[in-house]
Amino acid sequence: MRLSINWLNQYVDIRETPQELADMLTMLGFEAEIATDLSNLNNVVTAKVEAVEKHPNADKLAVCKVNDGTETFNVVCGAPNVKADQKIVYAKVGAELPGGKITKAKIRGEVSFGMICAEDELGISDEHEGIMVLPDDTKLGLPISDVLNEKYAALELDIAPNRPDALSHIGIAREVSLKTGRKLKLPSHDIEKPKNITDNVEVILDDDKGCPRYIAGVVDNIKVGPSPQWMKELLESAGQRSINNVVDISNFVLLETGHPTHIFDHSQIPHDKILVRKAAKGEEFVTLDEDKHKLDDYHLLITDGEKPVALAGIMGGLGSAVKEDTTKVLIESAYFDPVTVRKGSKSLGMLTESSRRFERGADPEAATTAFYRIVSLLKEYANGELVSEVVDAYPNKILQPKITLRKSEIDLVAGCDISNKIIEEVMTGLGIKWTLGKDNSWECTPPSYRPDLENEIDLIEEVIRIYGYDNVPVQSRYGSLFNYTNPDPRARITDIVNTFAGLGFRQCYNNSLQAESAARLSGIKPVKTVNPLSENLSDLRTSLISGLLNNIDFNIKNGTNDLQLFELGQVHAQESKGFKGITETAQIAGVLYGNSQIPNIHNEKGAKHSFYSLKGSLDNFFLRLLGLTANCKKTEHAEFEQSFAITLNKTVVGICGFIKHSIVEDMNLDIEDKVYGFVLDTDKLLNILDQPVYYREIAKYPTIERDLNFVLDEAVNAGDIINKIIKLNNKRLKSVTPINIFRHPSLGDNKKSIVFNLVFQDNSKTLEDKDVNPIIEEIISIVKVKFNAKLRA
Amino acid sequence: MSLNDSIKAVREQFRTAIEDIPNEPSKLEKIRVRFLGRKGEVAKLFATMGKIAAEERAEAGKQLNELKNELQSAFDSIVQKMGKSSKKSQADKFDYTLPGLYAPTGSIHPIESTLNEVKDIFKSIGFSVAYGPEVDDEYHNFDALNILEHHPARDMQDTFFVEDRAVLRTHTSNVQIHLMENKEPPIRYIVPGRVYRNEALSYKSFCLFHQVEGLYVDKNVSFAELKGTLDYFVRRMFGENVKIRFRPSFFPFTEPSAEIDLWNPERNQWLEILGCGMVNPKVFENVGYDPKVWHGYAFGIGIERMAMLKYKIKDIRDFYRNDVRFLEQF
Repeated sequence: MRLSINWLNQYVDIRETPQELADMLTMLGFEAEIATDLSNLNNVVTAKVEAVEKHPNADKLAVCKVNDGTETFNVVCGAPNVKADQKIVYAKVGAELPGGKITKAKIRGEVSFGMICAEDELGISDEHEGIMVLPDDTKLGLPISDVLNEKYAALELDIAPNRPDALSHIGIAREVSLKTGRKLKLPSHDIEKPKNITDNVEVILDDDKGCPRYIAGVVDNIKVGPSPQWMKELLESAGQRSINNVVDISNFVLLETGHPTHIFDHSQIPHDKILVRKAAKGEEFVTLDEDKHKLDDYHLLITDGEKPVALAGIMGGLGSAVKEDTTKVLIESAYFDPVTVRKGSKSLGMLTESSRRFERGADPEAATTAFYRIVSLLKEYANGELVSEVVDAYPNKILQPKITLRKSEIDLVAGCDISNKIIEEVMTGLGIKWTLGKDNSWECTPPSYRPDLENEIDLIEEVIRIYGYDNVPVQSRYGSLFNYTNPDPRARITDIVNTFAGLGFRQCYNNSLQAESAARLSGIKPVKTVNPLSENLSDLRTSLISGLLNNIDFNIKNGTNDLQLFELGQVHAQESKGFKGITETAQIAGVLYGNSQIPNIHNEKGAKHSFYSLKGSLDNFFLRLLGLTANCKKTEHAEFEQSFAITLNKTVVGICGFIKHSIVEDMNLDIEDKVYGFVLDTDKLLNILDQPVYYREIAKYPTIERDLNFVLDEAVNAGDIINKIIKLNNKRLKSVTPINIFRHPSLGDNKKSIVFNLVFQDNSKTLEDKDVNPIIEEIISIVKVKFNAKLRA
Repeated sequence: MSLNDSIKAVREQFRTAIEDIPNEPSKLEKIRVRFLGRKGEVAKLFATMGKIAAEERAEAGKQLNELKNELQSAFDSIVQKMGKSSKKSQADKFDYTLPGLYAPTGSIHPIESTLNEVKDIFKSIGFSVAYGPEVDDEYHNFDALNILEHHPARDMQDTFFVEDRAVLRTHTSNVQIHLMENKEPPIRYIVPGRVYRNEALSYKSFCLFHQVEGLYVDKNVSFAELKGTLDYFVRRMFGENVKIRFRPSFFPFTEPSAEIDLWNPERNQWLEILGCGMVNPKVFENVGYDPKVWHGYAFGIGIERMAMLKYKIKDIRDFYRNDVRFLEQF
């Protein structure tokens, strides 16, 4: 909300600078920023237009003679309202306005020394239809801040949704008064009695839940015209454009009291009948912004008995607004149910100044105040005369809650002792009626303008807020609490991240939202948002791979071609219909691209990444982190061309291989070489990580090694032979490692020879040849039989 | 072959090898490796000790040591004779200024490290860590937290909806409800995680970010304790002498509510860094905790915001581009 400091000053003395006031309000819970402050505008002064001549080369421009009290300047001006003898705001050459610095300029051949300012150019409002015209008695050559700052200085407030009362100048004045101890000066208004009754207003509340209170009255003999200068200035300083006296009065009361009212042109309600009812399903209504709405049965309407004239608490109908020739009006001052207004305005996408206040909870009692304030302002400034009895349809008075406030609970929640005197001062200042209760407590009734005060905790908050959060001590010790069960189930994530980083991988964080096409590449059905930000961000990712591919593409385009990336994150799948069909899994994925060895002085050729560099990284990872060696087994996977399931301790924990190039193509990425990658299931890894690790005694006796050289068919994998040997389950066999592969025509067609190095060790003695000979023989014969192998000399 | 014969043979071979004293250090090194290396001839003889009868072992050991010493001193004298000139030429070829062998450099994402820093601070003062779902029902994300459907407070966060009006959680506060539904008080937890907002992407807002939620429920939990805990956190995170303030604010699930501002001397302004407050008794009612008995506080820390302040990062989108030139700085 735009808060005019000048306006605020009508209700409570403001002695602070705009910045000091902003700080005070911020610390009261109303975040405030300076919206308008003219005190820094140099070289902007009051001046007089001495003459206006048509610009020789442009129809819409004028060349003005502007006198700042000492000199006369030529100024080119495009405003339609510029006239000779006006007092205006003149920005001299060198002035720095919010929009930029003013320089001497040639405009269509005419030299212009400075600018005649409109309100928007000074930052006062958005108004740009014409230049700002100052009162005739304005002295010339005064710095503009001296003339206008007092009137126009304003703050922009961010009001929390629980404080409808603060959406008004009186509401804020009440807070300032309470904080500073200065008197709150509320405007007075007379309870007007009609002298000549010409109209009898009838109000029927068909829906008194949606509309608990409706006050109406007719005012005649209205003369629509300009508003008084003071009202114009207050409205403008609060960012509200002046329209005419009647409309301005309604807006003025809104910004003053926070209570929305509606002034109908009487021709819309000629029979003086108001019927408040729910709309029929499908009923149509055109609001005064000329939008046609199709309504539902929860929309609340103000009607003349038949046809609707306003969407209750949201906006009037087309034609209901006061026009230049309006002479008679019906004033509505009502209290509408917050939920009804909110549902209505939300479903129609119409957030208005009125609906904003009703949906937060207006003040049912302020309906009266606002009504008579309007009547008396219409009388004073628009010649209006009340010509009907005031009808107040209020069948069920809205009662304020009664709340017991305990001193002990205040002290417990605050954590300090706040004196009874302060507590009582705060409550009185907030308009809370209270009496002393039992056991150091108070029986409280909050005022009708504070619908947010319902429970004891609401009052406690108010006491602490006004007492000052800064005055509550910082208590830096407290009772401890032991949690015996798994204080951090994912504590070891850090080790996973650190290990990958240590292995030369860079951690990435990618967007979980992506295009449906990308989310579907994994072959998994993605979770779809129903209100996406854009088509490219419509689905939740089903795999981390696509994000990492994007990262490779991005980095190649930015000059980095050798990449090792990894990411940890949640992925989602829509496994079956509905919320219950959504699954969430924690995943770790990585990719390798380009060189594993960048060419350098020690290794001029460098080396490309390969399946073996991927496998090496993973082996290293599993050994370092888990002390385990993984097994790879060929499998099928939607994202991998050659894919291998990774098994640890007989559990499949993930997959590795190289990524299908079709995915790269589907994503339209500029990645030419093979991308090697892996995907791991985080929770399975964490499970293994949580297993206890026990020390293994270091063997005391030496090892003995044997090399076996087999001639094999090309189709036989080294791993198959190793697994076979390991399955013999010889306790002395510590490792089997292929150490050499040899291919030569002399071996025969489609043949290769592989040398396996076998290491044996015994825990109780030094092994001799004769100890291992039997198992060597067994290995040889099994490999020969099972793999059609020959032993090579 | 007996051990004695073997010793003789090795001695012979060594003599033959050093007859023409090689001038090149590399050849000399080969001789050293062949005879005196870890797997050299002498070592091989030592390796056969195991097969020698126990009563002969001492004598055999003595002989082998003599052989080893003899060869070593012969070798040393040759090296000495070669003089300093050859040593020097070897030193000349060694250029320590050349780059080391290449090994790829890894890095940890700044959000991860900031998240860990925040977690560590709270773990050090007795908080446990819990996790919860990113896709949740409206009840856990909103209603149970007193963010009612027909209250304007619901508009404070722009929400992504999925099937069944479930939501991509707008905060980690949904886990407050899951925790309290499943655990009896007292409890003290932090909850790190990813949260989503349906907001246009810009330098200061992204469609998702990371939060660390905090929740402490016990019988006598006060606002003063909340201030103490978060004052400690902010000072550990940003330095002992930073200037902070607790400013009244509004969140439907806490009351009183506050935001903490950190003074930024460079920009000469207060920057909002986190929201907090005392758990609203209505939330306790929703999870079946008796609000007459239990009190609590809760807070929510934006990790991106912490990282941006800490590293002076100006554009939140930088975190999600994964530009190596960005990543390598952390």
